[in-house]
Parts: sequence; C-alpha cells; structure tokens
Amino acid sequence: MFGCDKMNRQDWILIACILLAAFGLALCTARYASRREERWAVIEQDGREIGRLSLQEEREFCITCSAGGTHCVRIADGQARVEEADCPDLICVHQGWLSRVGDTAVCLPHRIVVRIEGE
Amino acid sequence: MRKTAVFGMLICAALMLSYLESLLPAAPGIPGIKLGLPNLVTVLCLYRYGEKKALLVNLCRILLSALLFSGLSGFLYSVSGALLSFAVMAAGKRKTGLSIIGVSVCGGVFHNVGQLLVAIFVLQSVWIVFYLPWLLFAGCLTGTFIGLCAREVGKRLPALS
Repeated sequence: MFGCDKMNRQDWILIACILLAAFGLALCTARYASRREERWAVIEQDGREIGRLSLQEEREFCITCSAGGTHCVRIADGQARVEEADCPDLICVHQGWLSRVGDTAVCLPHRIVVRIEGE
Repeated sequence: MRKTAVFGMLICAALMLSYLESLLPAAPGIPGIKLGLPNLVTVLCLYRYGEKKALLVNLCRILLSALLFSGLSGFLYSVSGALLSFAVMAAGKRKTGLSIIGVSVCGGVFHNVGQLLVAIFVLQSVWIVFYLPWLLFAGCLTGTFIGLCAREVGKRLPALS
C-alpha cells in the first residue's frame, strides 16, 4: 500500500521542475512589472504641459522661455533632472535626479515645473 | 456498518484539520497560502482506500467545512482547488512513478493553481497571475510536508476496514 515509501528520483525531478518554473515565472513577471510601470517626466511652463518624456529613453530636452532663459532637462537611467538653467536661484538644478512618481523640480523665476508621472 | 463508521471518522478528522488550519494565522504578504492540512486525509485515503472513496471523503469535508466555517465564496475557492488537486494527484499516483510525497506535492501545487484560476475568473483580473510563482513555491513546500506526514501516519495507522 505504501510500497513506494521513500522519496525517489522522480519526486526530486518534479520538485526541481516546479521550483524552476516558479523561478522563471517570477523573473518574467518582475521584468514585465518593471516595464509596465512606465513613468514620464512632464514639463510644464506657465501651467501648460510643453513636454512629456518617457524615462525609458535617454535624451535631453531644452526649453527657451519667453523671458529669454533656457532650461535643459536630461533623462538617463530611468531618472530625470534639470541639468542646466540660467535662472537666478538654480533650485531646480539642485533638486537633482527625479525618479519616483510625484518627484518634482520647480523653477519659480521661469515658471517651469518638471514632474514625474506614472500609472 | 463498519465502513460507514470508518469514513465518518475520516471525514471528521479532515474537518478537524480544516478547523485547525482556519485557526492558524495567515502567511503575511501573500494571500491564500495555507498549509493544506486536510489534504493529509485525502492523500491517506487515496493510498488506502482508492480514488472513489478519497474523492467522497474530500467532497464531504469541503461541503461541511463550507457550511460550518467559510460560507459560499470560500466553498467556491476550495472546491475548485480541491477538485483540480485531487484529479492531478489521482493521475499522478496511477500514471507516474512518484512516491506519496511527489503525489502530495502535485496536490499542493495544483490546489493553489486551481484557486488562482477561480480568483482570476471572479476578480476578472489577470494580474493576480503575479502570485503564481509564490504559490508554486509554497505548494512545493507544503506538499512535501503533507506527503511526509501522510507517509508517517500511514505507516503507523492500523488497518481500519
């Protein structure tokens, strides 16, 4: 009745297969989840959206404002920062890298907001 | 007459294990992971008394435990998990060279898979598939544990009928 008592080779193979499948699935879902969490750097000037850049692609985005100043937003490694600006206080530049949804860099003199948005 | 008593007792034992399990705290983080203690009786019955009787004991236990502890929604989840797990265990025992432990691992894993399928259907959301790896892993662990228990109990339990 309990003839096949001991754990045999097939048992181990079964368990190994299931664990492998679990591991593979975990990898797939983790990768998929990170891709699904798309985030953007949204750039607003005077309350209007003037740019929406995916954090996935590395690039630089420069704005010349009406007052004559310039702003450059750089995107790299899934993060965004205001790299250059000629506003007097440079608070937006010192804000550094933005990556999480809700992170914001504001330049009051030029009325520019860089904000991270996501799903 | 003796048979009726024996199966009554087995169902009762499974029911008590169901109750015991409902008293245990749930695993944190991942909903739905349970030890599967009642499966101990199912595995034991499967090896001692064959498929039909094991299925009977299993169904009676689920029905009674739904009436007593969990209600209709719980019934839907546990019956789907239990039927899938039972089918796979019966096939595994008959068609493969798996030992009682391997069969029990099949049961644990497919119990979780069955419940996940119902959850996907009920919640209309495919995203809970993300739980599957954890459920597979947990099923392996609990299945091995239950299989070991069933083997040891089976060795020591005298023939009942």
